[in-house]
This record gives sequence, C-alpha cells and structure tokens, in this order.
Amino acid sequence: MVDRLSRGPASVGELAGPLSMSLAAVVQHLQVLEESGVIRTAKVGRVRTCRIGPTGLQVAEQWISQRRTLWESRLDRLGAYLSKQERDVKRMQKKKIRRRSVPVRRYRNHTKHKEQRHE
Amino acid sequence: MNEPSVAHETIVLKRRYDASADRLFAAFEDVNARARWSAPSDKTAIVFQETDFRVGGRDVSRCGAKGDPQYLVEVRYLDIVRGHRIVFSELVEHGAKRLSASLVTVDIHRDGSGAQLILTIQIASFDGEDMAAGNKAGYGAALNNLADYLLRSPVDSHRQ
Repeated sequence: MVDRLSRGPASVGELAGPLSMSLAAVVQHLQVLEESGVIRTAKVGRVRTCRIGPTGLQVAEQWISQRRTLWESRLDRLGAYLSKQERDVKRMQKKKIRRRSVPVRRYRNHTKHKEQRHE
Repeated sequence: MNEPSVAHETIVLKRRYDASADRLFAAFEDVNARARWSAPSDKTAIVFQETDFRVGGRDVSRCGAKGDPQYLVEVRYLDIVRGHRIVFSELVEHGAKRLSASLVTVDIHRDGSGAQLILTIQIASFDGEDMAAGNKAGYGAALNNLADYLLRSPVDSHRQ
C-alpha cells in the first residue's frame, strides 16, 4: 500500500482493489499507517483519499495529539487507582476490626485454661 | 526537503476525583503509585530508573510497549507545594532523537469531599530530522517499526 501511495494519492477502494484482504482489514491497516505517521488521509464526501507521508510539522503535531491521548488515559487510570485504593483502605479497616475482636476471645480462653490448671 | 520545525501546543485536562487532595497529591509523589497509573494501558509499561521527588530532583523512566519500552523520559521537578501543586519539565527521547520538551503543571484543588485536578501541558514538539526529510528513505525506520508492531499485534486489537 505504501509502495502504491509513493506513486501518488489513492482512495481506500483503489488501495484495496489489488489486495487479497477484506476492506475492513485494509481500513485497519491504513489506520495503523496513519497513526504511525507513514500516511495521512482525508475524507471528501464518501471517498477517503490516502497520501504518503506527513511533513515534519505534521509529525510534530501528531506527537502532540499522542501526548494528549496518553495523559487522558493516565488520568483515567489515576481515577481507577484512587477508587481501588479507597476500596482497599475500607477492606483493611474491616479486617482490623475483625482482628481486634479475635484476640479478646483467645485471651478469655487462655485465662480459662489457666484457671482450670490451677484448680 | 522540509526545514526542521517545531510545533507548540497547550493542553489542559481537568478531572474531579472522589479522593482527598492529599491522596491525589500522594498518587503523584509515591513512585509505586505513579508506576501503576502512568502506563496508559495494560499493553504498555513504565519503568522508573531514577526518581527524586523534590524541587530540583530528577526522574528518569522508560515507557512504551511492555517488554520493549522505547521512550526515555526525563522529568525535572521545578516547583512542589505539598497537596496543591507540582510543576515539572518533561523531555521525551526516542533513541538519539528528542521528540518533545514540555512544562507540566499539576494543580490540585479541594472540591467538596473530593479534589479537582487541572493538568496543563505546554509542549514544544520537535519533528525529528529523519522524519522531516519527508522522503521515502526517511520512512525506512518507521516502516520497520511498523512491521514489528503489526507482527506483534493482531489486526483487531489496534484500537485500544
């Protein structure tokens, strides 16, 4: 596809024509090529035209949009991390309460044993 | 041939979290916490090689695909106000190529029982000389990377 595009712009249909791939697979490959900055595409009406290679500036702009996406995902994951932390803290507190009540019973048993031995 | 160029942008992201401002701040301060949420997806990883969370301190990390994190990130902390603000510079490199330099401001405000985060990224993005050439030869490396990428990931999982 890149070889074909290096000879000039082409529509998605023209690119898919000679290939033994489904149109959906071609579109997905084109998406990857576009995300990697190898090609760029533009839709006019119902036809998406692909052409080779962005300029240096477009590469720089693509990098900026990648950084934005990266930080957006990070902030989502930060939110997930904070809620998980909150749940874990609550679980720990419950466990502590449970643990606190256990030694008291054991202590009682222990003293009973002692008392029995004394008897 | 294109001239080397630089693009500038200011990115502002706002979020509200159901967590106290102190807990939100701690998620940035604690390197273990940061390592957990900083990888943007399960397929990516961030590995801290150095960390020094204080004004003038430096973090060095590698991030990118799990098992092969190719980006080198150097952070310098410029200003830290506990529970309120973190300002740092961030340089991202790939191989010998510097991709971008940013000034990142993390602003934390109390908001009811939670906290609001305002993240401002002022970024200067460099094109990288081999890409700026914009010719077929320049795409060699990118195409090789792409080939590796396509081999590693099935077609239907490209979109995360």
